[in-house]
Amino acid sequence: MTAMALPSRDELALERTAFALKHATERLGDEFNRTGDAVMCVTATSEALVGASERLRALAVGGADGETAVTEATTVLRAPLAYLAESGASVRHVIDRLAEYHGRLNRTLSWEHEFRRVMQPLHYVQTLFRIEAAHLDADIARMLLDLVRDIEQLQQHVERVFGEQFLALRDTHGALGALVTRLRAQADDDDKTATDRREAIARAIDALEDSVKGGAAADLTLTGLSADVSGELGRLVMALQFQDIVSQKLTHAFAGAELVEARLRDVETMTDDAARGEALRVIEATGRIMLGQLRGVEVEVTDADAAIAQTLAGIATRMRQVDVACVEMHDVDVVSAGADGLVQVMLDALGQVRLLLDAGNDLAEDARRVLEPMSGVAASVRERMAHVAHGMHLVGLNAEVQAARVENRGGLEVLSARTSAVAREAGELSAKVAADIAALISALDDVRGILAGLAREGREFALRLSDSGGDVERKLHAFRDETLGGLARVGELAAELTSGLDPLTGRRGFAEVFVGELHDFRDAVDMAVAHATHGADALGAAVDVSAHTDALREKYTMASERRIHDAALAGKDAAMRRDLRGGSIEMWDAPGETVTTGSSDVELWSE
Amino acid sequence: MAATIMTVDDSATIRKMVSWTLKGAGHDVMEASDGVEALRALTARAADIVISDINMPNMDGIELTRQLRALPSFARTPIILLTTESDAEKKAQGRAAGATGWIVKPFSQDQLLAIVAKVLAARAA
Repeated sequence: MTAMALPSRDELALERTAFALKHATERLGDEFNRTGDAVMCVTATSEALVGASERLRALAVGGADGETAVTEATTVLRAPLAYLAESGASVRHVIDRLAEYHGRLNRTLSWEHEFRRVMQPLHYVQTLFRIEAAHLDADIARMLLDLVRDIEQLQQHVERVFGEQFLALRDTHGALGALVTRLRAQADDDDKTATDRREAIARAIDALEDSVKGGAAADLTLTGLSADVSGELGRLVMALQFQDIVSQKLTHAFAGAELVEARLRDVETMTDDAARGEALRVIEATGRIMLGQLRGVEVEVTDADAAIAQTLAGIATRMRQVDVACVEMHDVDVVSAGADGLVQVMLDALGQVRLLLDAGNDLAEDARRVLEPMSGVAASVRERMAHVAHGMHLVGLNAEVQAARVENRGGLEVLSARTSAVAREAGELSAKVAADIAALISALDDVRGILAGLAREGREFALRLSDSGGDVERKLHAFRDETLGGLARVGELAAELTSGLDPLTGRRGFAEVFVGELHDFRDAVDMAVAHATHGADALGAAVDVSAHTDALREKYTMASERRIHDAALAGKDAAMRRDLRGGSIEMWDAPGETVTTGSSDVELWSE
Repeated sequence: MAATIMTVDDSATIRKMVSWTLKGAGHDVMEASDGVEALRALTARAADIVISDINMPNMDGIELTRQLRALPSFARTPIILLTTESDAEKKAQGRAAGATGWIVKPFSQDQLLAIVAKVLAARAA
């Protein structure tokens, strides 16, 4: 091979190339250092996002106590519904019994007419006794007239007493009828009110349950979003590692640049064409290796940057959804009158139930107030009836005695028999009325007992309701405080997450900033390769420089770089795109054993 | 099972990523930027697992592994080398130094946690 002098303009070009390469190397190094700072900024912000996301998830799963409170509130609200249905039936039963007693009292009143019919003959008996007395001795006649006076007095007494007592019974009958009518009307009203209240309580229960469902759905949304954010952050963790990987590759590239620059300067001072040709071939080969590497770096940075932008956009989307979810939770709050509203709904419902119970108690008390004098009247009538029966019995006896005394078996005997018959009938009638009244008194006492029991149960139930309602109220208030506090914290976190994203989403992409400098650097290397190739070709240099490149490549520890070098030296492009899901991992639990985990490999060597 | 884990890397980003991942799983994490710093910290406070980069200034991961294995208290401590892809020769050096395993960057959080769980379970067995 004949050595040829290198043209002077090429000398100048080499010098310029060395200068350009050195300058590009410095600028690229500076720029890359700045990406390191930017990566740390993304890292720090992302770390804050991770923390906020975790807190968000913790908030989302922290509503169990509130749900328990609402469930308990539902139970408390349902209990009065059952009680009201039961007590309403009891009141109806009492009213039916009172109506029955009203009918029975009506039958008792019908005895008044019978009484008058039975007593009517006594008028004739008195007249006939007087007629008979006119034919008798004066002593006998006086005794007979005493009897007639007794009969007359008794009859007057009986008529007055019966008149008074039946009047009282009629009043009682009227009052009982009015009570039954009023109770029925009130029960109907109460039924309607109870129906309305039951519907209101049912609505309150539905609202509470809807609220729990809404809260659970919102929790689910937040949990899902939080999981999505965690997933995005996981991908971000993967992508951000590009900085370390690229850093190592650039270290290698800069080592190559240093070598090329040194060789370029060496060439300027070399006088031996063979040595210059070899140096130029080394520059050419090293430059090709570097160009391959730089392509790899560009792909690495571009892919990582795209992945980072994508994950940040994904996180931003999730954060906006969190914001929306928070707003929706607040909307749910408004629709259901809020957590405070829930408590109010329950308190209203409990208040309505208490009103119903109070109304029931009032009803029972009213009935008792009406029944108590009735019972007294009935007892009085019964007593008077017994007295009348006794008086009639005595008159009958007296009439018989008088008849026997005068031995007049004619008219007096007949009159005596008739008087006794009237007395017997009147006594029997009195006994029947007394028995009716006694039965009525007993029945009224039963009803009073039932009403007293209902009133007592109502009071006790109201007391229990008040206690359990108070307990539920406290729990619901705790639920409200927890819910509102949680919403506030979620809102704060959503704002924190959203604002935390600003520096990330507003940033300039690593590739946008870095690749321009990378291209300048690559152009400088490319220029060095071009000049070296031109110079070496001009010198006709045909020399194997693999020893030089091998020495350089030994410094490169990354397997993919070696593959790229091989392709570059062969004048080809190696496949560049990395799998950003992770490097290969293998695990060896024991020597020789390989366990593959996921798409990456870990090797574990036993001790 | 929470553990104390030392992460050694000259890249602050990688240390932060490893730390995120492990702390998120409830582990206690110590950090060092090279082998010398790690050795000093680990002499003062033991760790259940060491996860180290290979290429670092002052003392690389392979030398760190070798020196830790020389300490009785670290004879059985899992040491995982977390590094950019390396050739077989480098891996062999790590293995010969006494490392327990080898993971290629970029690692995924799930993979790292799975491996940590595996070596902890193996250690507890």
